[in-house]
Amino acid sequence: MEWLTDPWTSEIMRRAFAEAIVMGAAAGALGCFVLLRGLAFLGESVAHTLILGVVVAFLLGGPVALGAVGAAAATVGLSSLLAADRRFSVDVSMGVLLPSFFGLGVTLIALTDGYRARLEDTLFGAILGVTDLDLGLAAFVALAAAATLLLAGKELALVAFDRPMARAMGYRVGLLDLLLFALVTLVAVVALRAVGNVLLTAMLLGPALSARLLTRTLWPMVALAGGLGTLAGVLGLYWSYSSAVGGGPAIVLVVAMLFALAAGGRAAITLVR
Amino acid sequence: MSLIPSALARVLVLGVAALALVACGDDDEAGSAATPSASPERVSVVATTMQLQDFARQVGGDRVEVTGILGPDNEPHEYEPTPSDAEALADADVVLENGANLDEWLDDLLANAGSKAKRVTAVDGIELLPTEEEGFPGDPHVWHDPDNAKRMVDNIATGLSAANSEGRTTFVRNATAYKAKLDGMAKQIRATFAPIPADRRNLITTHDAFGYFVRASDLNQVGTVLPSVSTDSEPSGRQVRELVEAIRAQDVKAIFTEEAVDASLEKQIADEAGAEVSTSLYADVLGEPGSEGETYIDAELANAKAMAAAWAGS
Repeated sequence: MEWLTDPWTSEIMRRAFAEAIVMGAAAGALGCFVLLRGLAFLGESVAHTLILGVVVAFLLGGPVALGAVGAAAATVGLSSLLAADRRFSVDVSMGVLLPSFFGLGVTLIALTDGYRARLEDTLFGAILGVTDLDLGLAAFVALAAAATLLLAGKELALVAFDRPMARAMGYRVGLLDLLLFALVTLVAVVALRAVGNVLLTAMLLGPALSARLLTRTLWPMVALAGGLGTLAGVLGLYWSYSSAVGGGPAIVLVVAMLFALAAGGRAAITLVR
Repeated sequence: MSLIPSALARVLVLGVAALALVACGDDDEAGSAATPSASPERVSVVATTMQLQDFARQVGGDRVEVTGILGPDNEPHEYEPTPSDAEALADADVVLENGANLDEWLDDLLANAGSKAKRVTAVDGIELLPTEEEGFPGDPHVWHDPDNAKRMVDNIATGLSAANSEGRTTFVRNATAYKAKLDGMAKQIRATFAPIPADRRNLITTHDAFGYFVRASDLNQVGTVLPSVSTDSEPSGRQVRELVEAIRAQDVKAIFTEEAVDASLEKQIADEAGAEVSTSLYADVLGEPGSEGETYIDAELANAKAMAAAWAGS
């Protein structure tokens, strides 16, 4: 049983586990709403717009996480401003913001001589180097997500399933949208540290997809997705601890394996019936 | 009322702010600032790494005009050539490259620039330390051994002479004088490490760039934070664990970072293992003009001093 307890004796690994568990649960649970709303593009867009914040934080010498939060706020703010105009959907506003922010970020990288090395940390994460600020941010995001799901989960679900109905019932659909965006963006900031920009979408959608295959109703799906996200985080880190695979890639590969298992299980159930 | 105009205005403001930042960042582009000489009698040399730029100036003296591609802020392993590099290469008489896959991006650049320059590979004739890295014929960071540096200087003198035979005597004389300085540097480095007991000379760096330095100065490379000779890979949990165990087992005092970029992984490892994160070493580049690592010799001496200072403390 030593292999089970060994990683927990290391402070670096304990921090990584904390980050992975919190990030996995929050990304998994929120991913369900992203999936049901058909907003897969949102996660991808947010991930890419964050690059700009990371580069600006580097330029100003500030913590990367704060830069990402700034870019996230700008993304949510601008996209909701754009989407407030009825002629533009969220997809369209994101379609405008993604290339603008990402392009600006990449341009800044190219023109900033000082930004050498470690760009891979942004692309693939660096979960073994999480700082106190990263952990604090992750905890805050997880609490915010939990509180939102407890207080406004029913409304978010209604908006996800039947938008016109929600509007007819007098719910402020735009505000609920904004809430979901803000949470997804915050989760993206946390996941940026853990698994990086490129793999972030997998963390958001993978557990939700698996859970969708295995459940029939919303709340069991949300709970299962959160659980699968956490499981992937923990298993991925165990794997990385005993191999030469980096933490971020290992976690995402476990997400993919869990999805393969879920899909296989689903197919088997269908066959038996 | 549509909100679009104000939203667009914000995007524009962001864009302008970013451009302003860009303009600031671009001012001190140290490496490629020098323009190729207009005077026909000087040999126009383009050199990739900063070490080669320094060597070429030492050997060429007044007879050459050296244009550098890499500056203090460019990582050679990940360099993205710019159009101005291609322009410089198109006009060059001699192109100096490190070789051993460190500056492999030069191949495409030379082809695209349509350069007719004589190409001199500095590592020619130097026996490379083995590396497990895919795609590298050996460890490319040869200059960290003073003997290798002397060989590089000879290669440069030969290359310059081939391109400009009238300068041969000058180049050979300058190379000989500079090699004497390199001998002096080697002696100083030996003196710096002399008081440090062998079991304290335990080096940990961010990436594996100091193999030749370790061999030349009889140090012990305990490990590296990034698991490769290049700067672009993420360590796994096992690699970090093994490093922490090695630091504890050999009572290593310091982890040396090479860049001022986010060193949070180094800090976490140092915290866990009970070591310090120590000042920057000059691994792949030299320092800014005016810094203590401005020339090759200064940079190597600064590296030795930083290591010795970390290991001398109790």
